[in-house]
Amino acid sequence: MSKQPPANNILATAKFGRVMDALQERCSWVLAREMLSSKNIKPGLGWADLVARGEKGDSEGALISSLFRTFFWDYVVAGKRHIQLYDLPDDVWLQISKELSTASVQHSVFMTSYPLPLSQPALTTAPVDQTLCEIRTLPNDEYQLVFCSSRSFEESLTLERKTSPAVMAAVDQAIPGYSRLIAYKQQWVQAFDVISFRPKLGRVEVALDMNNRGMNFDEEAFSLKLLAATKAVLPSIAPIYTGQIPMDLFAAINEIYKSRSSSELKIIDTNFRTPSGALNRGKMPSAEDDIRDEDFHRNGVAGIKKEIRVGGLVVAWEFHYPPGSAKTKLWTRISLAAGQNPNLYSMEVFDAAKDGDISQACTKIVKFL
Amino acid sequence: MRKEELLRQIYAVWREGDEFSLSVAIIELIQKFPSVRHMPMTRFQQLARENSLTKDPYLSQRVVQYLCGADSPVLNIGAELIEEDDEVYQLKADELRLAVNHKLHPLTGEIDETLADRIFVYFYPSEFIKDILAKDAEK
Repeated sequence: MSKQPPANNILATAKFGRVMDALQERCSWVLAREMLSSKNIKPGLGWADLVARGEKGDSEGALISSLFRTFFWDYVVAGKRHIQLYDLPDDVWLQISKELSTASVQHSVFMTSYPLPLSQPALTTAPVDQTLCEIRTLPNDEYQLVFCSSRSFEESLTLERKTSPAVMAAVDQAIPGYSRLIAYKQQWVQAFDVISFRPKLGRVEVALDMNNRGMNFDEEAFSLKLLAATKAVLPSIAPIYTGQIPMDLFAAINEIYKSRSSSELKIIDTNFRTPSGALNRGKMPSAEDDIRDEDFHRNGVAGIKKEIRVGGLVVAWEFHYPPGSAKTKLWTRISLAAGQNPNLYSMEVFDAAKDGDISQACTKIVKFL
Repeated sequence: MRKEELLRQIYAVWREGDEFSLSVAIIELIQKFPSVRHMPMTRFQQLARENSLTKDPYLSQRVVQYLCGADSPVLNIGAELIEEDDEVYQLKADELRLAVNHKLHPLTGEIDETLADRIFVYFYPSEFIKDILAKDAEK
């Protein structure tokens, strides 16, 4: 599914260091390293080393620069996402596809640097409402709309006598007796929220950007806001926006747990209750091991005759065709799972390098419903 | 190699000292739990206490160092990064090398001066000892 960036002058001509700074804000080193290894390029000593090598004029530098510009393009719509799924009826899609053929991106402040994020000062005044920045055409008649917005979070800093004697002396004068000072600073990040239409799969994915550190917001409200922003561009989405609730993914939790572990599917984290009411957590430190194959877990589950009630799980996926990988998190609150009608209207997909990984992860989950 | 032969080899090095007793206890622990894959140093210290061996804090270090060596390669070394929020990440061999030699954090891709404080080693049975114990079980 990975494709070359279209004629996007900003990404093609931006300084490599700027592209990589933007990527580092959003992407784990593990994914970058895996991409390099898959191309037989030595990962080297972290981001700074990689930028230095990519800026060199030699053939390796040119290759690294080209690879990461493409990777960045793919990653704009991938990484870590809060996802809600909706059915896409054929008749609704027919109308939406007509509107898509004439829909266009309007100029906004985000377009001055898209797909790179705006600078920190520019983000302080940029729209907090999701603003359409790209309509991406994919194989299989699929489309993606990418909406940018400015999102803020508070970063905290703790000052103590030992590490900041001058500040703490001033604090002591103003408000005597305090030994620690916690300061908050408002930080801004650019979010790249995505709505994907996959008509052959009969599905719409509402995928909020969770890539930047500190991103902490009301996901339900922002998902609805994203649908509303989409409706402004594609009015035919109205039956989905107003008439549907997202797919309930709750049933997939136990179905996945009951499935067999395989080279494609490994459960690496789970919380569950047993017939005694005990709350348990089982977590593997490596994505290569399935908790269900772990001795203590397996024997414990056998000891309670498999009467286990799973409330959440994280799955590490290795897709065979087309190749790729991602992790999915289906997690409910204990109170919810204890109620009469438990449901789960969203999931998290993370460590996804490209859209194809997000799409496959969603398809895998839906198959368990 | 057979288990008796291995024990004779270890005995030849340590004679009847606590080092030999702890080595035997470790091998028996592996025999009891062939699927064990994570033994921190504290497990060997606990094993020394369970067997009423000397309280010398360096006993388990000496024994583990020997059992990781070429003479009687019973144990392999693994390492994990445990962050302050108790998130555990298992380090692969190249990640460990870069973390130790260059202080490169495997997840952030940045140089981290205090990284070594959060790297913890553990031990797991080698294929060598698993083969020996499998042969012993067939007897």
